[in-house]
Amino acid sequence: MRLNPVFREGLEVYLAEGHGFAAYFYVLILLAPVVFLTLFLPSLDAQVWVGPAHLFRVSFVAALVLIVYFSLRTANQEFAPWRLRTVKSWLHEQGLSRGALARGQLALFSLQVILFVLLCSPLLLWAAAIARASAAAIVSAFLLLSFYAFAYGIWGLAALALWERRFETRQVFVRVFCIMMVFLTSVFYLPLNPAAFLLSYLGEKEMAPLALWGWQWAAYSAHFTFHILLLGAGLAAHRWGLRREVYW
Amino acid sequence: MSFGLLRIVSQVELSLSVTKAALQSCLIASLVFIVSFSLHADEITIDAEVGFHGNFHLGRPFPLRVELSNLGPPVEGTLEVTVWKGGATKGLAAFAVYHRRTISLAAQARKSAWFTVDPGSIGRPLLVTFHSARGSSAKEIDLRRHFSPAPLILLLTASNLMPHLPLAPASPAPLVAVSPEELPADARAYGGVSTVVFYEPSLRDLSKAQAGALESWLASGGRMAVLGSLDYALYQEPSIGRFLPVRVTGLKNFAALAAMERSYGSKAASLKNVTAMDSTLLGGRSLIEENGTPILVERSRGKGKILYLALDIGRPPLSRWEELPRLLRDILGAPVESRSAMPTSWDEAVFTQLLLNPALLSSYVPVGAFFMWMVFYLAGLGVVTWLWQKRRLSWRRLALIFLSLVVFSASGGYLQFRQGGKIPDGVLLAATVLEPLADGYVEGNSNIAIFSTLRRDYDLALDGGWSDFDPVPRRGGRLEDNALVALEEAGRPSFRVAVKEWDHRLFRGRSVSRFPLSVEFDPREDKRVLKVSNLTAHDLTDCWLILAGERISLGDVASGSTRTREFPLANGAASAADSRSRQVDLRDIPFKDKTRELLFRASFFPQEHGLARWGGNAALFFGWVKDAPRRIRAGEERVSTRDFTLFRAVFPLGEDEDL
Repeated sequence: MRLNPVFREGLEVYLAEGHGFAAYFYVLILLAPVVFLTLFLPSLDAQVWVGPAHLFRVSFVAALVLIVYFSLRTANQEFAPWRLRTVKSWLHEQGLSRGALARGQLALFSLQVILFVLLCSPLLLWAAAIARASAAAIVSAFLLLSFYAFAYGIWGLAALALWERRFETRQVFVRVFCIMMVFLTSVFYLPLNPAAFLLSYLGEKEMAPLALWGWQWAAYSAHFTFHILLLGAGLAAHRWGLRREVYW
Repeated sequence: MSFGLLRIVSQVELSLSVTKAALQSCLIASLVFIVSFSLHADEITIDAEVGFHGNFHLGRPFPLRVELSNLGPPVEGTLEVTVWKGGATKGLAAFAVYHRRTISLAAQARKSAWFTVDPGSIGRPLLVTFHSARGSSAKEIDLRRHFSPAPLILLLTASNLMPHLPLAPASPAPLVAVSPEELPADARAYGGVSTVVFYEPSLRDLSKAQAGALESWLASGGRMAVLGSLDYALYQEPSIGRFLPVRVTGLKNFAALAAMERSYGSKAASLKNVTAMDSTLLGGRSLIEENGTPILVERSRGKGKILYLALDIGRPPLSRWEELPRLLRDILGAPVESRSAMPTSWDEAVFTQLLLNPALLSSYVPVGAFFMWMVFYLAGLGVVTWLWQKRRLSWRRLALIFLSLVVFSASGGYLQFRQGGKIPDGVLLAATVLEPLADGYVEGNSNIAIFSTLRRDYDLALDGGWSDFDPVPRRGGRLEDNALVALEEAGRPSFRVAVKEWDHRLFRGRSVSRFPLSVEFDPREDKRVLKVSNLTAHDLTDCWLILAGERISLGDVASGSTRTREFPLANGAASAADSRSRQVDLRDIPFKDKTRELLFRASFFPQEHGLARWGGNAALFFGWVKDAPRRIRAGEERVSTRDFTLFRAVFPLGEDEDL
């Protein structure tokens, strides 16, 4: 079986040459102290804080933030961009079809997300065991983590396809995208925010429904509809960016 | 055609009649069911007696006797008494305490069950319910008709009839005559009783639990008055002998009572030809003695007091004596204040500090193991990276090693923390301050917490000697957060507490028990002498003396040993006055165990009660009891227990003896 050339190039650059190790290192070196210190460090409100009680939730939220951010950056080819062929080169010089290029990029992105989740999984599982979380909660937390990584990370690929030759623009876009998503979801409707949703879901807390033009949407429906739309929009933007590259 | 029509009409009529019959039988069946259900429910009748013959002291626990009568077939069910505590007047959300007992009732039978209840107010009625497979019966009890603002005096006689004793004018407290079988078997039920008076009692049938409860109540501040009788044989029974300060030998006749005259003036001269019980003194202090025969004897028992009067006040000439109310007033005395002069602090803030303390944290969080797994995993990743850098292994092998490392670390750590990671289901913490009473007794004020890492129920079993045990309600908590179930099975009180995961419940308790540790402080003119005799089975560690503005470390006092230390006084009255004005900040005293240090500062000598700084008006001795006897148990292997017991004794110095 022949590997997709885009995927093979990604494997070579990120894993064989080790250019992706920096991202994995950052994720682990930031997550490990957060998980460990959450065990016993007091918070500002000593009345309610019991570290291990929140260990599961805090660890998964920290992992969520780190994985989403570094997935975005990896998908945006911020690590070793000089070692990777451009979209134009793949399409016009290597004669790769747009579909094969998209599949290769998506496969590489999926591998990165899986690797991030895999690397964090021991720490997260230990945290879940200490916090006495149920198996169902652990499985759903891992699924949510992967889902968010895809839903947000895909915009890194979209940025790459849209502004491949403008590296700074892409860099600014992914950061602004991250911050704006956190800000807007917090301001307009908190259950749309993945961190807030994860905290509420794992803490078994009720979330207020979304009221729009007299209609009431359950928080779960609103949250997942929004993120599925976000994922779909990201995929569409990626596809549109690649198509634009073909005709330009 | 017409035949066919007729057939259809007859079929319709038939189906209508079938439907009607079915409906009728359904209706009859449901009526029978409803009637039989209500009949079954009515077959159990509930009768209840509040306190002692319908009297209880407001604000204190009291006994509740519930009698179930079964008019039907045998039945087994749960008898439940719902008591409300807290409420707006106490600044807390109201919460329920459920007292439960499993009862089996034979056909056409009656059964009584005793409960000790302590409602927060008399505004809400008590609810008594009996739940069984056949249905439920309930009865509400209005407490407003039963309370007394003053503590009760119980008169214990062989018969249940109120004898003609002139006790009522001697005390404003209500006098209730009870028979021995009506005495509660739980010391807490005596909470609203100031004095138990024995007159011609027969305690032969008193159960071990009843005697133990009476003794516990006495030691925790109760007062017992034993009034003599011509029927002296009743006082020679071992069951009452355990309480008496004398050994009754017979009767003795006195022509006059000169010693009574000395105490009660010339009016005692009218007492001629008096027959009194003759006895020999066993302990205590003879207050009035006539020709070597103790007439009035006082003896301490823990915080309580026993008074013995050899005279029969129910028969002439004493029953007609005009000074009898005064004598009885002296015997009955004033109720003892049961609360400690130095209250401890116990609330969410104190317990949260304890929870975060690394010494306690390590008992429910495997910090060390977590750190080791983390180091192992990160080091393993480092080795994989090194192998990749050296390029000695193929890609496939490296990927396999990496995956194996992740899977092994994740599953190994998970299994260890989940099952064998020394994470207990709960931690039971008991912090007790022991304060010495008379005759080798100590009063223990316990602050108790059960902390849970899981959502589950815990059964807290109390050993004997507890006179109080109350939950510390959570402010702003929901009804179910503070609810408590008291299980009254097998004669030993226990409490079932539902605790959410990573949550806790707090309790306070008070107990009196024997603990032969005596501390004597002798303030002489030139020096002060401290003598500590530890006759208990437990070492006293980390002992300190706070004296005249100084803190002195005394080290340990081993079990069975006695230590004496002398402290010379500084010269001059001025320096004595100066030392009195000096204060010691108790928060500066270090202890090796950080949990002890925290308890000492935040709970035992809290700043908010003005106990953090110790003045020179009193000397303070304290030490930690090593492996102190447990008074409360969670009774399971998955519950880790931590006991901290501090013994403290205060010795007032000079004129200003108030603390």
